Amino acid sequence: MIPVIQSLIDATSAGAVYALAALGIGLVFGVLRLANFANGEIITGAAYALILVWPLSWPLALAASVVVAIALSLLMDLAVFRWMRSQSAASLLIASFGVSILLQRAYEGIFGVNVRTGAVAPALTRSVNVGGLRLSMLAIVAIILAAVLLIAVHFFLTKSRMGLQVQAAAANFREARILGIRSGVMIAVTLGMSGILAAAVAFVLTTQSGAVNPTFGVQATLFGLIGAVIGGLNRIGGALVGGFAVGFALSLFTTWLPSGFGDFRVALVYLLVIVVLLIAPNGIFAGRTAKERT
Amino acid sequence: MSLDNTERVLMVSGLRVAYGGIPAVSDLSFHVNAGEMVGIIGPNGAGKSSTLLGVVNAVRSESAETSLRGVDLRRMAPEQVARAGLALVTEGHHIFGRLSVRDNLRLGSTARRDRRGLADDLRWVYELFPILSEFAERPAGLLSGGQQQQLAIGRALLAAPTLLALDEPSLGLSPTAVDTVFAAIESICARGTAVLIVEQRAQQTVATATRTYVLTEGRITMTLSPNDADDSALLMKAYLGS
Repeated sequence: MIPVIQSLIDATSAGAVYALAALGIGLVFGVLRLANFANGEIITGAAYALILVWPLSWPLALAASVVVAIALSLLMDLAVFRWMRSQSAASLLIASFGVSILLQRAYEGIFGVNVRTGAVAPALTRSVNVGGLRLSMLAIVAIILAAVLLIAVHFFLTKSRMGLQVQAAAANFREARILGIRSGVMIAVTLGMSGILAAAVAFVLTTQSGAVNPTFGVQATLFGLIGAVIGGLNRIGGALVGGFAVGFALSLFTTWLPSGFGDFRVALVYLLVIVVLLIAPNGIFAGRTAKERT
Repeated sequence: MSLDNTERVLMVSGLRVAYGGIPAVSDLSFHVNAGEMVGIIGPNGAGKSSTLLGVVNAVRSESAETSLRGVDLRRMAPEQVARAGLALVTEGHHIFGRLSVRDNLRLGSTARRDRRGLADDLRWVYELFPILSEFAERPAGLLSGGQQQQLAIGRALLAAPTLLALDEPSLGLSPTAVDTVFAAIESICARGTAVLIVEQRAQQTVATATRTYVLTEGRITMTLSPNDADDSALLMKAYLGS
């Protein structure tokens, strides 16, 4: 029983991290129609900031990671995506692959191809005993961090004046503009939020791995993107649940698959994705609202 | 504030809208004066929606002049046009279905800073469309078509626009709902907001509007007055061309 509970907590924590990644991707897709593959390099940038600055000062490292993530998010829009506003979602996705690869090369140039190591939040790598359960501190912190951010995003979107405008822009961008909602502000706010979420993902992943390389953020983004797609890119809550499901499944497969089959866990996740998309091509939560868009 | 009837609210001259080289609107000129309700009627595909979207720059357009109370709108983004005082209710009344009626209304007042004026306007909108007050907490997507149209108009009014432009507000509504909408438009006009209405429902529009332009194949072919509303031969000709 105890190993089951432990593995469920680990899976919840993995799910929480991918939920954050998927939420950032889903928010940006909602407003900009951009499925941003280069979100991975935003996570990587924040991870470099954490690993390199942490030995100097941890508060500075946390601040730097958030600043770097937001700056990268805004800069890639300024340099590339804003010139493609009228292009199709497919063109934007392809462009984001370009940005992703370009930034990976830039990281290689600046930090080298090799892995950079460093201890981020070493206090969290310990385990604690709770009633016979050996729980990783990081798993608990990841769950709490994700919960706090998700609740914050939820309250921002539903309770604040500006959050309401972001929701309107996500539902129907042109209509929102016709109502006088400032498109530039909405885009910047959304990119800023996705940057903060990417920094949070980077924090959990760097604490876990203690290392960063130029392709560090790719996997989290890939799974976040998959989660957002199976949840329904059109629905912010859907992306969140999809991301959680992918992380949760990945983690459980890792623990429960017989040794030797561990390598197939990713393939199994993809298999699940295919099944979900065959049944619900627009994602699990998108059906009802899909026709609302123009 | 006295309304000078000769004061131009909207002035459009030589408007052109084309989609991929295919003209939808060519060389269109019209105006709306203060206190007026001006109609534009015409068959499907005449360019009615393109005219409105072109004026607010939601689609690419060019013109010799497009101005609201003398302010040039031509180089503005759609949101700037809205903030300059031109509120457009688009065809198919795109309300935000997942948001509550109240939140939809709040989105209409994005640019407002005068709390007192806003509270007054909200009271007025609730008087105009009592159903919005009754269903304030409901998701807007659950309203009927007629109620959604009322919500879209109410939302536009909360921006306190100089000009309210409506794109086929009667589309898909029941006859009673159409009457509600037209009655509301008359009250809106009477309260001092100029109205530009694009419609397929010719008779009702011509009868209500100060002046109605007939749009055929992207051009104005006729201008009608309320006296022409009962001349069915003329309306028929307006639609079918001579």
